[in-house]
Amino acid sequence: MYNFNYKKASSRDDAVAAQSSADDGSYLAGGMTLIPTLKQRLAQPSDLIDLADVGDLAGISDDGGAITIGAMTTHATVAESEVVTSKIPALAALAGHIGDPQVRNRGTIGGSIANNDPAADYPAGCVGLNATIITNKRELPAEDFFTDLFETALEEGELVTAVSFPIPDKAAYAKFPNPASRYAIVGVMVAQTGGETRAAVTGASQSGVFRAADIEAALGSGLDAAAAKEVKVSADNLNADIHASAEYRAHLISIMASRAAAAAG
Amino acid sequence: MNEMSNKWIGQSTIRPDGAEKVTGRAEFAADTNMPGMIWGSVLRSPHAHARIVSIDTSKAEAHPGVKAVVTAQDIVDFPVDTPVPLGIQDMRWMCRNIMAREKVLFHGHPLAAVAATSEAIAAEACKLIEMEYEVLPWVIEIEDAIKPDAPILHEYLEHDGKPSNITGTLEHKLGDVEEGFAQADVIIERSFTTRPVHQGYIEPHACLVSVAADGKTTIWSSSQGQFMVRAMTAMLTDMPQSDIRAIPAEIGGGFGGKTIVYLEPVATMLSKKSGRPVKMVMSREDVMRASGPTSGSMSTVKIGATKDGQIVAAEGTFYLQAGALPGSPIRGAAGCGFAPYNIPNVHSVGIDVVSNRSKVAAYRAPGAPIGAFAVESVLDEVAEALNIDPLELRLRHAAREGTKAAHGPTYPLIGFVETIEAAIEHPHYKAPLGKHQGRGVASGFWFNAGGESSAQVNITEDGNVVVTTGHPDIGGSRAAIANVAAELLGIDYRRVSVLIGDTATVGYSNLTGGSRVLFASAMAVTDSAGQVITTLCERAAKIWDIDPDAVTWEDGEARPAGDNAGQFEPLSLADIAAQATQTGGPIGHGAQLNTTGAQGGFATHICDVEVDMDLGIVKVLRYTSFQDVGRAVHPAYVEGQMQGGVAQGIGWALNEEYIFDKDGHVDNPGFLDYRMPVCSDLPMLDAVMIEVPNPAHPQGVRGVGEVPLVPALAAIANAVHNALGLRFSSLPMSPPKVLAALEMPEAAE
Amino acid sequence: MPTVSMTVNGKSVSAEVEPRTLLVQYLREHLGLTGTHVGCDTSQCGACVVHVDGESAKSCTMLAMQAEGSDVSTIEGLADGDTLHPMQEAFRENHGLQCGFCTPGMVMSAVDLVRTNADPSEQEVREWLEGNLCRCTGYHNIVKSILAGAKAMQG
Repeated sequence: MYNFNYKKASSRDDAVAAQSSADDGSYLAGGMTLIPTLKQRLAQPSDLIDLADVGDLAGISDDGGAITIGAMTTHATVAESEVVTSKIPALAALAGHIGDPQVRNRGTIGGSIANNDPAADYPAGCVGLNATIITNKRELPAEDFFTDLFETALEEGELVTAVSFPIPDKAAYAKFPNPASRYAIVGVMVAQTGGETRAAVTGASQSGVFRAADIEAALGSGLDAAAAKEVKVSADNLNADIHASAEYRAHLISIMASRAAAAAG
Repeated sequence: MNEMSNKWIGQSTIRPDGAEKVTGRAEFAADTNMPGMIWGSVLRSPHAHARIVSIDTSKAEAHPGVKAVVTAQDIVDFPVDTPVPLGIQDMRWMCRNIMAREKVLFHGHPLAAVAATSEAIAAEACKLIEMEYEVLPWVIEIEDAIKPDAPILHEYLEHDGKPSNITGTLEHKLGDVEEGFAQADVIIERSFTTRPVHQGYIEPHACLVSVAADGKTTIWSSSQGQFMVRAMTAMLTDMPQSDIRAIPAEIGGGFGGKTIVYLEPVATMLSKKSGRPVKMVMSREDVMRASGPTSGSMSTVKIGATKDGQIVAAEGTFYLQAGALPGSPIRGAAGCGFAPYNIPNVHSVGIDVVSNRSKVAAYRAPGAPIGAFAVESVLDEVAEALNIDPLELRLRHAAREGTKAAHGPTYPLIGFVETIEAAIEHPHYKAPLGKHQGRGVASGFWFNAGGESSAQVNITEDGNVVVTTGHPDIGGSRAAIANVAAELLGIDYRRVSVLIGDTATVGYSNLTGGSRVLFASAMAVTDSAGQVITTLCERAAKIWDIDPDAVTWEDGEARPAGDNAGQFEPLSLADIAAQATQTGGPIGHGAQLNTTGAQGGFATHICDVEVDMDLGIVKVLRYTSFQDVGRAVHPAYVEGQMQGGVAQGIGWALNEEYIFDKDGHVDNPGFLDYRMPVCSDLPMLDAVMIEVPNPAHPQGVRGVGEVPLVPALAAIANAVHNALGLRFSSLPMSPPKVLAALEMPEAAE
Repeated sequence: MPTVSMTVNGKSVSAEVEPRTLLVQYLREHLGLTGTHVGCDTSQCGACVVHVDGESAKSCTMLAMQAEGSDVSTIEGLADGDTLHPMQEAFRENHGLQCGFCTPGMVMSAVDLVRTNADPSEQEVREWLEGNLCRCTGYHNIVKSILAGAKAMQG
């Protein structure tokens, strides 16, 4: 690891100010991706601004039609939350299968989406459930937030503060985990909310999370699992790595979408 | 020994190191510290194959905090033209493995090492070493390495009269295979490949070395043999063995991978040059790139049988990767594959192939799982072709006492037949299977080893017992040795303390390897305890003033041998110990043995799998292993060996593999991408111990540690075949490969 | 260098550390608590699992600074004097270890499981252990140990 300055921010404003005054400041949430990245010397921030003590960034609230989850809420908290398990069980299940228990105890929703790892689960959850990403400056739809591999619409210093999930009529997430790392080789969130059907795919694309239009069309309003399974997804622009070829990932998209649809019932 | 009278042998007693291990107090090599200690770091090759033109370490040496730098110049050079054997290793290759000499031979090959006041400074200084290379063409896979125009790793090693990457061959012959195949009605011939897999011990290699001003050297390290560490370090640093004290730290797994040195000689030279104790700890990436996995392989097996179900001939050719320097386990592959069977005509050939990957190290029954995968897969097809139950076919041909094996021996009393019979009778073999499920069986053999072991049994002044042996305890052997000593001395096992001595405190003991630890050390303990009992009887005789022959040792006390001996109250161990000074002094005896009589181990496995037809995932649903364990001195740790071996086999069969990128670098050098089984991948692994005691051993012990891995690859492949009708001849059967084969059967090959 | 302060196994500790110091380095190298092990560097093996404010965490994937003000417990702090914690005792009695290197992490992880799930099933134990690797046992006796330890913790 390269050396860096470390600061524990006491408030949102304190965090933003520290970030803006640093040469190359990076927010630190749970650190479950950032610290391994630093250990492998794949990043060299000048300053880490730890958000752990910013009290109002964590927590889950039920606003009637939507559930808002603070950026610093851990995966374990989401997975165990009564509100989430009763209103959006698909999201609780997604959070409950991220990494392993220790990752879930420290990893946060804000950290996960701000990093936008192409194999992370939350981006599929956010896009599939048509979430709104709330930052210290604005609110934007998840589809506009995730822009490319490890890239988001966040501007320099902009801080994710919460994510708001509309409560779907039906939803389920199915993933094929990498047998070693437990990251998604392919994960698909299938959801139906107010007549709209979405299938958001993580792990598969070279440019990160995306909505699979052909799958969504096949699923239709009835979430037709059998039809989704028959879709021949194109392998163009899909990831190929030591764990799976682009063709295998293409195949997985149909199967995982179909399984999610069946589970969403 | 009368089994019925056993009190401790056969009990799963609590291990003596249990409390230390569950409280974190047990000291592993990386946990050891010394005042003034500094840290060593290794510079590793960025190329798969290159000639070293020059090394300039001056900038590293001048870097603040750096205390010493070593290169190959500091390590003894054993010229390539004269073999220097040490055990199964050759120091010509060992000196080139721990530090590249003329050429770098694989990505990650050590080039130099730096010791500095912190690990970070040592690593930074490594980057200041200026290297000049002449990059050479490289070759990774066997099929490429044996091509006529392949880049040659060692120009001085010849095969068929010209430089070659084939660096060794071995052949076993029995009968006449041509005649045998001429009698066959059914002949099945198939080719197979397996990928190299790592032993996967969770503890990375680590050591702490202190060389004092007078050259007296202390090494704490994680190894499968402190005497191996001493001998190799002495040879590679040109020191007398008597100057080196190698202390075995607790070892965090080895599975064969810690039977050679990587760090110890380097740390020794760094300590010698710096005058400071030096600690070195590998990262997981170093472990994966530069310590030895087992061989990848390419093999062809042909078996012929008559239509009435008699196997008449078998032939096998096994090419094994050695890594960058010669020495793959061809003996295990070519020797063990056919060893379980009574086949009149056998021809088996092993071929050692070097290529630009890290030198292989032993891995649990080295080579044998590779041989068994090919042979047991073909046997399955033979059984199918003849319409015979696969276990029945194995039973008909099972080796038994008197069978002549192609690799040499005529078997003494062995319990292979019993493993197959137990499998046939087991409820698992008859349990119904569901959709997309399959059941496979396979058998396997491992040689097992005897060899040198020493032990010391001392009676403490308060009448308890300290046993010292010379083998690092890798899986609970101390508990088993406590059982043996307690049984022999007739005392509670909790009164026996079992310690692992260092090279200065116990006699020479060969490696923890070859499934030999309990076999050999129990013999040394038996010999020592026997001498102790003789002394105890002599002391009692002295106290009673009778003839020593008139005293017997029973239930932990000396008793008059009969009415003629006289009437005396029995003397306990404590009674005799209390009077030791008056009766002749301290009581303790040792034994240094070169043990013989180790007999082969056999196992038969049953495996059920379920295949996810949409995803290609193979899930192991149920697994039962049957093994002739000789005598289970400590059943829980015998079962533990069986379960651990099976789990490694499941990983090898289904997911684990080394993957190289286009530059000849390992692409998955860590647990993030190297796919070892986690708990949720496995079911409970049932272990059925069959005890056919080894008549050549005082407690009936046979080695048990390695054979549990041998049949597993084939058992799983046979189960997948049973589920899908597809035969996978190449491992691993990873989900993408299985799915591809479901769509296009030739993808299984 | 900044100062970090926390409670480790009930004792207040404080030290100057480089910000890049990992919690596991702080525990092992500054405090001499070498029962917390390092087996990989990528947060898979779980040999380094400790509890931070009562929840299991991988100390190789946490900066010491992140534990500022926290209550950290390691394997060394689990036993009550000479009396092993029921989960430690369960591993010892059920032969839930061979080499013992993964054991501290396994035990710490298992204790956290029982905190969230007092009566776990075999399947729940297996899934909980996805962040802890063992290469010796095939997990068979580890699962048995944890099921026994969970029972003992209830009793």
